[in-house]
Amino acid sequence: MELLKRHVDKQSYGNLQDRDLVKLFRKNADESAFNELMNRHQAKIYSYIYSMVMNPEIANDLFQTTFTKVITKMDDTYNEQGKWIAWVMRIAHNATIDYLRKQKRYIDVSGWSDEDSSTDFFDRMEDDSVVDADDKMVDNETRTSLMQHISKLPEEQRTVVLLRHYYEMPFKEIAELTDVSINTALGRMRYALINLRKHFEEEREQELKHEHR
Amino acid sequence: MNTGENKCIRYLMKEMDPSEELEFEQLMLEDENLLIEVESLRATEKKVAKIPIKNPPESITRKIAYEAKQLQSDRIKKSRKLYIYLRRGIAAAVLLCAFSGGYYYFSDFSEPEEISPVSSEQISPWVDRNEVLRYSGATQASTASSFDTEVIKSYEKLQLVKFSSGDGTVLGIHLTGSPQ
Repeated sequence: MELLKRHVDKQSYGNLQDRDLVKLFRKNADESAFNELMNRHQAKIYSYIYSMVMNPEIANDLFQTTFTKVITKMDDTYNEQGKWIAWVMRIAHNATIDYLRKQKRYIDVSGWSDEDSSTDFFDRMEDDSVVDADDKMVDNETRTSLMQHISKLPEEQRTVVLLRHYYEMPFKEIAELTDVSINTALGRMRYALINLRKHFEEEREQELKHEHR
Repeated sequence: MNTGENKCIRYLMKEMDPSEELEFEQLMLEDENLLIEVESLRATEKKVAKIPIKNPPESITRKIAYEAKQLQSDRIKKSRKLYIYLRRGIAAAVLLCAFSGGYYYFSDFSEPEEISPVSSEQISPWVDRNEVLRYSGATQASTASSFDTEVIKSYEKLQLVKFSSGDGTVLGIHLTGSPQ
């Protein structure tokens, strides 16, 4: 470990694997190692929580709760054999689901239809270098409606879609995280896509109706 | 949940092994409805891929990083202290064992040799019906002197008695305090 520490300068943290960064943080309380871990994963974890609760204040609280648990439990419950991000994701997922179940409501859809909040959300997005102007318009329309449609999905379907999207998590891991079989996880993904397709079609029909008027 | 239907998702999400993938593609060529279903799901999945990424507020990440540093430093300090105490404890225990072992080892030779009791094979005491303790037998030369000392000491507690019976006068030793 000391050898590892000696040969690691601040610039080379980016080359280290998560498990090495975790070791450095655990043994030496290495702040740079922890910051590197945060930089790597914070956006995905935050986006997952945000997409599940659809409220910035609650997302901030849950994100902080998640990392407080990560810091306090890292020495006791994290097994270095496993992926650190999978372990953190489990904590984030459990914290989010606990919150949603306590609230007994899934989402505040109005948060997404609100002009200010959606602007704030998409202002932070990176431009996908859309070449065609028509494509760009379609993309923007799709994105603005996408989160609304996702928020309408049942919690378990939304969870699978977001875990897959943000973590590219294999269905085996999604199944373990959500305590269901792989087939159930695959089925939830399928139903989520079918439901989303329906929502997009309904939206398209409404747009056509407006155009005809 | 229908595993056949889930194959579409496994195919789309690239969770099939190559041979299974080829087999599924062959199936799609044969079944137009399956092809339409897969392509329709693919189009929706493509839209889902545009879900945006959002970064947490910087103030929160800075606060978390600061807390992490503090907490882990405290934890390391505590574990180091505990390690020092543990090391000292082990050293003390080792020293204690060494001293007590040494003391036991050396004191074993300096103690005075105990007088070994005379075995019952040599002396067989018995008490008769008048509660007179009798003994008879021979002692070895090496233990005879110490045995004699003990006997002399015991004189203070014993009393010689003489009484007559039908066969004549009998001599015996009477335990002090016992009824005659």
